[in-house]
Amino acid sequence: MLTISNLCKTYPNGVKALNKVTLKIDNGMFGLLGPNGSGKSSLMRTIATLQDPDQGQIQFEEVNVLTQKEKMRSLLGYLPQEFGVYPTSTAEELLNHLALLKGIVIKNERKKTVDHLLELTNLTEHKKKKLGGFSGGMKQRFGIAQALLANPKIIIVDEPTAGLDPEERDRFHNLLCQIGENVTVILSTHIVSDVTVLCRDMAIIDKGEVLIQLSPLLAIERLKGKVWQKILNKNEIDHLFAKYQIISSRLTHSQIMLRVFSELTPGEHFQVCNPDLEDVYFSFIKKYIK
Amino acid sequence: MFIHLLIFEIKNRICRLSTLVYFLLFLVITFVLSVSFAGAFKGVNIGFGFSNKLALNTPVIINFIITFLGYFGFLVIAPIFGQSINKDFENHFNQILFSTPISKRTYFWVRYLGSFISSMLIMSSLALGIWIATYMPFIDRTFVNHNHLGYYIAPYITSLGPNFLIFGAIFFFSISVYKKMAPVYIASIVVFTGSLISQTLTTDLENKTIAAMIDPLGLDAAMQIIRYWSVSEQSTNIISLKGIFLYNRLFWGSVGLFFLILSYHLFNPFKLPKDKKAKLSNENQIRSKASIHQLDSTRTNTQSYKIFLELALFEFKQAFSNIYFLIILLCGIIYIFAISGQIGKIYGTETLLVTYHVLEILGNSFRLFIIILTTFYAGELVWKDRDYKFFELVDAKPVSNIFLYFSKFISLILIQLFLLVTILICCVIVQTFNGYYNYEWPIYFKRLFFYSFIPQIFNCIFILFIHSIVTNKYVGHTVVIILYSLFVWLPNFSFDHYLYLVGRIPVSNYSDMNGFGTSLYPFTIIGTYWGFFHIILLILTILLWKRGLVHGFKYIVSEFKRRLSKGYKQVLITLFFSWVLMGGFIFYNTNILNIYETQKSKELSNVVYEKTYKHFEKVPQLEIISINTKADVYPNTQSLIAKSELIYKNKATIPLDKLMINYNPDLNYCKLSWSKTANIIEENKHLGVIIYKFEKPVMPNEEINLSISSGFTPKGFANHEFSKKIVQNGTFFYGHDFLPTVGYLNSLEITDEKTRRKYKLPKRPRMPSIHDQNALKKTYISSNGTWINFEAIISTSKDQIGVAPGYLLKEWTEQNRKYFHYKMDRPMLNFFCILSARYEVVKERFANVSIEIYHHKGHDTNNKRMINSVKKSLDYFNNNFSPYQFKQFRILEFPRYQLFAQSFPNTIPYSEKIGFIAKVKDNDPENIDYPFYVTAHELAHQWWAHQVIGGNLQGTTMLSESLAQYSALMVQEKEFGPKHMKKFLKYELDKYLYGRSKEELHELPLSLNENQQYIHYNKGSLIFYALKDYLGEEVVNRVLKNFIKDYAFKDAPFPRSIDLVERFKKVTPSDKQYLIKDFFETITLYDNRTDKISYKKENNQFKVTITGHSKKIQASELGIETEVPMNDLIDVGLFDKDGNLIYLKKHLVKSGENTFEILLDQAPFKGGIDPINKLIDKVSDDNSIRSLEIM
Repeated sequence: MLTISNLCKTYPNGVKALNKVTLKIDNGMFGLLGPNGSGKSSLMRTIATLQDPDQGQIQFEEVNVLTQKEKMRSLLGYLPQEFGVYPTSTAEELLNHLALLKGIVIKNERKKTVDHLLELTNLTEHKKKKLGGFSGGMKQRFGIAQALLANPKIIIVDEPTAGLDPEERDRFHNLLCQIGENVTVILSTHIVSDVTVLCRDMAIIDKGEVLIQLSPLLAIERLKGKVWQKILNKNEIDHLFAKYQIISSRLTHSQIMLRVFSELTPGEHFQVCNPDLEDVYFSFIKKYIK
Repeated sequence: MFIHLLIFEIKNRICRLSTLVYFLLFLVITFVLSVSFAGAFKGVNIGFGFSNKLALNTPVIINFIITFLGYFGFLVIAPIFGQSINKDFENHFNQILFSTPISKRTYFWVRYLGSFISSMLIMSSLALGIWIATYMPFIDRTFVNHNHLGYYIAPYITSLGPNFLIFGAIFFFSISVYKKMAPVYIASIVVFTGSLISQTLTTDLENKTIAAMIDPLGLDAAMQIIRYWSVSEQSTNIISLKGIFLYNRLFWGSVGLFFLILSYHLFNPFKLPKDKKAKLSNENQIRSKASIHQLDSTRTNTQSYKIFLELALFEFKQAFSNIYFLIILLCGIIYIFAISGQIGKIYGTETLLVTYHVLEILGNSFRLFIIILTTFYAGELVWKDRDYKFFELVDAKPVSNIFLYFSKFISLILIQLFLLVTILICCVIVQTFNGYYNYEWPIYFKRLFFYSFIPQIFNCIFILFIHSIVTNKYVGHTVVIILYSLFVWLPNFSFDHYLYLVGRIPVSNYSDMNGFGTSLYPFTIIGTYWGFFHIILLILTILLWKRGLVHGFKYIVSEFKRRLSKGYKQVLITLFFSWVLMGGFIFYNTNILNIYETQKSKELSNVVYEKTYKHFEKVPQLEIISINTKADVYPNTQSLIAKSELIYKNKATIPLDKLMINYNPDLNYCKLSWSKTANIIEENKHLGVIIYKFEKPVMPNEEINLSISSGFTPKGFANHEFSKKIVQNGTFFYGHDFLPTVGYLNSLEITDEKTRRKYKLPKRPRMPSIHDQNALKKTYISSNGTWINFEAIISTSKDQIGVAPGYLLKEWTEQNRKYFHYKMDRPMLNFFCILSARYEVVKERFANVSIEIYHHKGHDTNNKRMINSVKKSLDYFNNNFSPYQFKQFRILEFPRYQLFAQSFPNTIPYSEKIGFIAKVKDNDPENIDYPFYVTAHELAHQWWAHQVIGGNLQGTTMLSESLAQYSALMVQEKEFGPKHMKKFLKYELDKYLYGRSKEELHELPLSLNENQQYIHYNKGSLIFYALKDYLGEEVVNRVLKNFIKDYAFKDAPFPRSIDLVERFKKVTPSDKQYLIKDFFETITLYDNRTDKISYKKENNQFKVTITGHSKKIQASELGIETEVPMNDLIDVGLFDKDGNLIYLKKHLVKSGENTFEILLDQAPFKGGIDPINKLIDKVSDDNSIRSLEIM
């Protein structure tokens, strides 16, 4: 159980990255949804001990994350949103290096771990190749491999599927699911469908604040009967924008599919529809629900 | 469009903070250097190696300051050129930029010219700094001339501007092709290496042209242009682009142009550096069967020390996959091998590559590269993870900061060891290829892995610390470089205490005779002091270690405070107090047990001495007539206990009652007791002066005795190195080191004009005038007494031999010490020394003289040469001058702390580094056998000093040094032939012309020289050799023989140079009388040039026509030249293909053009006017040219 309470962080340039963030995260996959710049990465880094909050507490099981950093780090697997590698090292060398940093001291155990993780991420064939020549997807796989070193009890992955092709993304999701069976996995993303598929629990965060934390299914349940949609012509839209709480508008051919949030029937030929997580997301981000 | 963009570019750069910072930094540095040069600070003497006569705003000095600091400008302009393009690529702005209509051509040239102009604007601070300095009221105004704008602009046109264009092009090439900054820095290091190599090559006259050409910066070429400029030329002539300097600029200009064109063509604005290699494709996506749960049992232990050892090895190996690291390393190694050919050459002759010598020269040269590599790689180690954005992966791992720090630290240490091993291997290779196989491993290991290694460890800690407190790699590098420069420069400004020069630990030079001396003790103490300091830095660095995201310096501080636990605090406080305690102990040694002297305090002592006691100069004093000393030397403790009996005599015509005594203030005690009641009326213990007043005056011709008991033992260690006179093996000290001297010593006066003015001391003639009758009363060698009786008992440790002038009467052992009793059988000059060492002795008899060489074990390579030289010299001097006055001639080796040989009565101390390790190639006729030459010169002094000694006035050293040179030349010529002479004299000519360009006061004619080495040695050789050529050897020697007959062993009045010149004048035929004036009485230079030699075959004979130009110049004391008409007898000579003379005759040569027609039996190959360079010719290599056949 990861408990985050009252976390605040303001950067020297005045940006409020985290504002009284409070979350309780259980074993299993947890999705952190939010637009770019919402404070997702700041939160992830703070949990990953790479950044200190101005205020607040983080507790993981019996570890106080903010004061027992080293203990936390030994339980942690972290895949940052953006990372680089030593271009002149091979995948095997660098993973071995990171395994050492992780504290896997015994040589053959380390070799076994490295080989296994490379196998798991399908990099075995490339293990003698220099990382400078890796494609984005391969590099990402390398990042995943290193996050899995030494059986982490909590895994934090920040926008892990950015830059992966759809097939790779699926495989990565499967891997995460497999891991998520008995450890805590926090997945930050701005892709709503990722969360729908994978997560038992999630939170939506924007401008450093947690808007809501609940399971995706419950969230969708909450919106039942409140999402309405209508297909209309392009030129009709302008006056509707002012009138309705618009969730999304999608352009299809010359027509627009408009979805709005409304407790009551909005009229004007809107039809009630089955809400999905995306509707939830936008409703919260746009503060239609508080 | 173009202009608009260019102006925008320049504006953009000028408004940047870094530009302003660089500008101000250079302005301040230039200003401080300039005012220091112009005598603003007492105790600070910065002359840049130029003559002290030159004002600050003379062309040569302005040029030097601007080009020298422009050198450092490369650190600034490399990023300026580099960043101009790099910034667009780093920010991936290029793709947007080039989607605008801007063309590649405009972009490229705007950035190149923009960089160039902004670099020049920054560097204009140099000229401005000097210019402002010239208006400062607190500098010595005599060091400022009228300001000429041209002097300031010239260096920018000839040096700085072209260099920036050329190397800007190379930097541009690096950046536009590689699109990274590192290659730019590497390019500047390669340029530096080229410049360094060219500087070392210059020491050999044969390499001068190559050296000047390969210097990318053109400094060396410019220096060669002004090498022979007189002081006055240096103050008025602008160094213009001509000769070798022009060729250098043209050569490197075309290299620059080549790179510029190349980079323009290779520059592809759309390409990102990463795109060069095709990425691996994403094939093989089949899901593996591996399961994540297979590894559930992996054990971790983040406390194991194995982690940081393995990490350290990883980081160490990484260095070798860093191409930049490898390139700098390669530069260093190339540099080492490039200079290895120049090690210790004297007169172009090599020395044996003994270990200490190779190690010092190569090791010290490589040290610069060690510093660069360490600085560079330490920065990489600290910042690499951040530069590659890899740090989030690393920092989220459970490894502790201590381990992370130690992994970097240990890998840096491994790199130090690797570099030291590199030095060792290079040295061994150089030794092996030069045929020297006696590798002295203990010296290698002690020097490299102890004395060098420990300071290097400290250095690593220091650099890592600097990087831990800054928030950017380049800021870190800049801070490190500034601090390095500061520590190098501070001692020049009289800030030289060990207590604050971070990491500086003294080590004395290694000598085969004396090893590392007593270095170990101060090294250990001062090393421990800096050890504590650096351990503190090490702990601070761990506490400051950047982990995770860092937001500014404030964050670093707050993080530091958080990590600073009680335990750390206690450790730090303990270390701090230990450090302070060690500092206290050092202070006790340097400032309480010993006197802490700075340049300024030394100057002040001399000033006080002069101001207080100058009036004694005119007071007649007693003269010494006998010395009998018993000196006990204790090599193990470097101490001396002496009891001496001296006899003084009043040689004046009036009774004397006041006596001034000087003694060495370093002595622990010096007790004097007179045989006649004398009262101390004044004593200055700091200066070592006592003024006595005799109760009853000493009457004329009265003799009185003085008993002295004096002693010396070093106490602890001082901030300066001890004099190293009494050492464990190889003691060599003078009489005045432990015996008092009588009368005012004007040798203690400050001679440098600039310094004298700072202390408001009156102008001082360097030597009394040639017409000063008073000055004939004393010899120039000793201020008191001339001929004395001498007797000495030297005792020393059992395994050593003690030596003093005189003949050994008795030798015995007493209480486990050796005693040697020496007595001189005839009066000798009051000029003696005492030596003691574990000597091996080689003896040989020749012409009733015992030739003895006392040398260090193993230093016997050149014994034969020295003995041969003694034999040949004795033979020549006995026959041509007078009989040798002693029955013995001893050469005694002393440690290489000083580099000279000196002639005492029958005793010649001879530095370990001069003759004993010379490597003379017998089969090369041009290889100068300098052990032979030095020995002959010193032996000649037994005549020219120890028989005939001049008075203490102008020209006097012509009678000793110039005649000793002449005598040695004659013996050399007989032994080695004329080709050998030509090479020797070529060096003498170079040294003379170069020496006069550095004249501190004023150049004088030979017969008036004021102990000026370039005149009495180098010009002396040339003049006397030419004199012999014009008058004949027999005539010259006859004059010398008679001169000895009239003056040898005489008391005052002592002879003058002009007395000898007068005798030469008498024997010179009337058509050559002008020679006497040119040679001895004026500064006369020739400029002979051969324009054309053509020959035609006519009836089995060759009709040769030689045309040339000649000019004779007289120079004033400051080198202002006036042409004088000439109608002189000068050699015209012709050589065959093998360099043998086929024609040599003196022809009358007039000013201007001359034509000579000569009939020969064979075809000439080359030749010309004065082809052997017998005369002093400012441009000596255009005298002899190749001949042409006319059909």
